[in-house]
Amino acid sequence: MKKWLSLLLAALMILSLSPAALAEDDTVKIGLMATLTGYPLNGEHMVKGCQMAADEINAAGGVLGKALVLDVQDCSNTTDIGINAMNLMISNGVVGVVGPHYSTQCLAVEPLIGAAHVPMLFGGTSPKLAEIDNPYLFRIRASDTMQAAAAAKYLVEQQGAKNVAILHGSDDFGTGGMQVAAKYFEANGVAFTAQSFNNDDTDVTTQILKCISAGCDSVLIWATEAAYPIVARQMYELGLIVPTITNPSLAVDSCLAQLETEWVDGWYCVTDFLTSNTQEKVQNFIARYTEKYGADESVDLHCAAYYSAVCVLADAINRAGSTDTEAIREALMATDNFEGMVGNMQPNEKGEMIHEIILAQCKDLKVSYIDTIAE
Amino acid sequence: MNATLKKHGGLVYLPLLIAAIFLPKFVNNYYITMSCLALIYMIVAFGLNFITGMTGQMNLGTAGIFCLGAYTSALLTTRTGCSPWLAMIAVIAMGVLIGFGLGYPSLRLKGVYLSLTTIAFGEIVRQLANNMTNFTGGAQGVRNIPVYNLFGFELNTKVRLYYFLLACTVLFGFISYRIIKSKWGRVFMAVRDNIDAVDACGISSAQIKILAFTLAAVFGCIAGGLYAHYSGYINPSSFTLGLSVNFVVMVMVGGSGTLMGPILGAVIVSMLPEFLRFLGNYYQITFYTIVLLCTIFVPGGICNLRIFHRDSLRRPSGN
Repeated sequence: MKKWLSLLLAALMILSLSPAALAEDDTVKIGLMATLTGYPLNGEHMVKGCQMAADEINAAGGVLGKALVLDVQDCSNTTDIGINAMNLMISNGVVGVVGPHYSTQCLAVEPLIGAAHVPMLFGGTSPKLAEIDNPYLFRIRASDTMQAAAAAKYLVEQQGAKNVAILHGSDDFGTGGMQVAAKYFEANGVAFTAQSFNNDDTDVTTQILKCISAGCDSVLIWATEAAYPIVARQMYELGLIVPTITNPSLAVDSCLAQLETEWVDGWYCVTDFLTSNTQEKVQNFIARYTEKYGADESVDLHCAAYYSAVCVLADAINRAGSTDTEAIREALMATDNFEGMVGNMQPNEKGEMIHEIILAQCKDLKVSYIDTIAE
Repeated sequence: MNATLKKHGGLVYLPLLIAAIFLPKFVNNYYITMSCLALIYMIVAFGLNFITGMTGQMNLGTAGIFCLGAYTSALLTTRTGCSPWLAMIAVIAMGVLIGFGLGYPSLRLKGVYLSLTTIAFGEIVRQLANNMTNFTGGAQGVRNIPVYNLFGFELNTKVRLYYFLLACTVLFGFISYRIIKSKWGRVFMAVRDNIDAVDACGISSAQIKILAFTLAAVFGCIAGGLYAHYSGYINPSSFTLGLSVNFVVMVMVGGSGTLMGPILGAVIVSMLPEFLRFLGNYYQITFYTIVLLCTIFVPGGICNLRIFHRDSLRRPSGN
């Protein structure tokens, strides 16, 4: 019995060592929720982008005269691990959270940040997130509503599309994009056929053949990076070679690396970030990033978007003049045209901070900047 | 009292229950939330213990059962506005339905074919939840699932929810314990060890398998219903084959054929990865390495270790 009681007490003592009790006073801690295990592994880029931002901010004196520290937690792309990660960060005393990148995880953790009154700068692009009445939500990427509407508009107005095939992933992201595009086509009297697939499907010939038999003259694809090698190859093999526009996945290096030139040559995409963007701030960022992590390290949307998120959060903390999370939220709401890598950041009443999107084209597996489209 | 507890092996569980009761006094919300999830998983593991642990029928579709329980409760409460308690009746009915639906195929299938059938069941459920957008909310899931209400007392804080889930787990643990120690429990293990002998004794092994499946499904569905109201938000991406495998790992690592096995297994599988977070990117691989080592060196589960032998009806076979 004594042995049992000893074990019990020891276990309770270990559990009671809350990490919050170990927090240091000379630092300002912000949380980073990233996909570091599971698939797809974009969390590494998020961490690198955020760490670079924190290092630069600390080199310039930190925030409120204190060092900015990242509390990086893996959310592994599952709801339960995401909820645990968020609870851990909140109990660690973070004053703001950057991430997660996926909408379903944003939906899962949003009540937690609402209850804890901690601002969250997330990258999920689902239109459903804009419907939530939570003043602590700030979206640091263009929403699907804007991206998919811009893609649909381009097909109709610039490519003269009359009958569009929408190939989309069956997840939250793909479905959300499809709904926005479908709404635009319906409003403009353009015929369309929507076909869904799972992002990890290895065969989408049925969906593509249905699009061909429907006589589609253009294609809009909305899916995660994992789906592109299969969809692009099978569209090419089955002869569905028509003007095609995609979500930002096509502009991600890890996605392009899995594609062949002839599959996607001439395809268009809407994206938040492009390395071929000639803007000085973007080229400076790329130069600093490659200097820090090496020329072999690809620069993509994930590092750029979350780099900007850390910068704008640090700026808000400085403007708030304290680490009170309510003051930081108010300072974030008052952000005025903060220069970010994926567009200037200025929140509207729903916390949407980005109001522009890039249009690009893929040639020889290189995605080139065409234009910036404002909301 | 002491004699009664000793007779039923209850003394083993008493310190655990006392520790569980006082846990919220010592820890923050992060640990309480983790504990809530562990309690829910314990109920699933109690059920899976009947079918996979004791009867020896490999069920890799538990995530599908869990998913159906969660969606039944979530959709009824959010779409019709009915009380979570009323929804619980529908959840139990769903469990019985699944139990019969999965139990009958198991009469004609065994081994890897049964595993494949149950995997297919889990995937079908997940895909339906994903693609029946108008009904289930599709990939975007179901939000704003209401909390339980006990005579006007809302279980709207983590601590309240924890005590409610603890009470549920104790209740289902007790039911599970009684079943393990009953004639059913012995017949379940007899089906696993020598099905021909069971039939030769005049006991219908078919009925026993269906009974085990039904118990597992009812426990799984109830846990799913509790999960929906604990989480407040569900989407199909939570109910993957990986979750089904984790449930099997709980029974396997903890030890099958016992009550302590699923308790230990659920705690280890749901909490250990969180305690290993300090290892950074290597925490998941470390966790699964520990599981692998457990499988190799403690094939009957941790309850097979000497300190837990009092609780076992017999030494588990480690399948």
